[in-house]
Amino acid sequence: MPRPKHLPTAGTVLVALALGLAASCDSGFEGVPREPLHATVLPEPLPLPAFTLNDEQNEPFTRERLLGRTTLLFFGFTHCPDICPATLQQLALARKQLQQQTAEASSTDTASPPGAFTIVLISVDPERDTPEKLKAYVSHFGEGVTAATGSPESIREIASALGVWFQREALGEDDYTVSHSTAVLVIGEDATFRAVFSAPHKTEYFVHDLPLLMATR
Amino acid sequence: MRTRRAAAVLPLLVVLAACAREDLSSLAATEVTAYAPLPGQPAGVAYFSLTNSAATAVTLRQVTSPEFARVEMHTTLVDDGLARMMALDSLTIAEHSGIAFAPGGPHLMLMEAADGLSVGDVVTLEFHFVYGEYVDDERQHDGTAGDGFLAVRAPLQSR
Repeated sequence: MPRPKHLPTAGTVLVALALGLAASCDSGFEGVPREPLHATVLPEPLPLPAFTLNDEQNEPFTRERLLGRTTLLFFGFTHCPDICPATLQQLALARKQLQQQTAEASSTDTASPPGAFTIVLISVDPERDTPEKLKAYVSHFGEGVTAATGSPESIREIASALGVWFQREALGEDDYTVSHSTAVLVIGEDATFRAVFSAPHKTEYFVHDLPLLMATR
Repeated sequence: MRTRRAAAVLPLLVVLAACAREDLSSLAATEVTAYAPLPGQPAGVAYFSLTNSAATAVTLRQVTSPEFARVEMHTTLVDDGLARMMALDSLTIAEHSGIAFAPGGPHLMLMEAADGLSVGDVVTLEFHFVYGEYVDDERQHDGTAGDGFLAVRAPLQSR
């Protein structure tokens, strides 16, 4: 029995299905562009101003330290029991997963494999976050995590340049907390602010987007 | 070894050991996770879910723990990308509803740990409830009268 002319051939159906799948998911079909799904990419990279903080080794931490390597910046403080450790944990886990993916894909010939980024906590609580405290704290999250802080003026300067807000607030009669932005900022190898992850954060968001962000240097 | 023993004895999510001066069978705590303080830090944190299947509201007035000198209820308010933390005096759970203590929201701060307490040890969280809803320290309605107490045990974990 001849096929009615208005019905598509099996080949046509297969091609249509393949195109539909490629368009509806980001699974990396050849030629289909993959884009960050969770981070907001700045229209133009924003150069960071010069700044001087001190890291957990009490060594100067300046803009130059950010050159040559992608950095994820998060402003928080060690007494923060909730958002800060959860975010650092997610970032550290994402870094580990991306390193594993790179190793398994044996594509280590790229100059900057997806797991090769540094996580930096900038403490907005310099009064309590001494270098010793910061050192003990970040060591808990494994390799590739560092911390820095400085005078309130220095912190405010770099925070303002990046659109990050923080404010010390009383907590009871003799304690205080620091309210702060929850964003994770992506700083490129050229020390420019390139993209931002807004809360709520999830490890899988970082795992998906970071390789794409790092590939567009 | 201690960690393994605790993990073997305790189911993954919760172990409930409830005793009550009133019937608290309508209250359940699940998904209890207690994290030890991070290095150099004074407070650990605990998360859980509370459900109230009764026909009356209950108010969580306090949480205590034999393993911590102080347990404080706090909440993180995330609004427009900004996180603010504030203390909670009490928390009312409406009838037939529940509340999740989770990252980025209500949480318990576990402060002044007992000497020698370490990851893998079992800690107890004691929830002190009253039936009814409190507003400005006055009970507004009282379904059954009387206070309640619910104890939950969980292994102390490392983040």
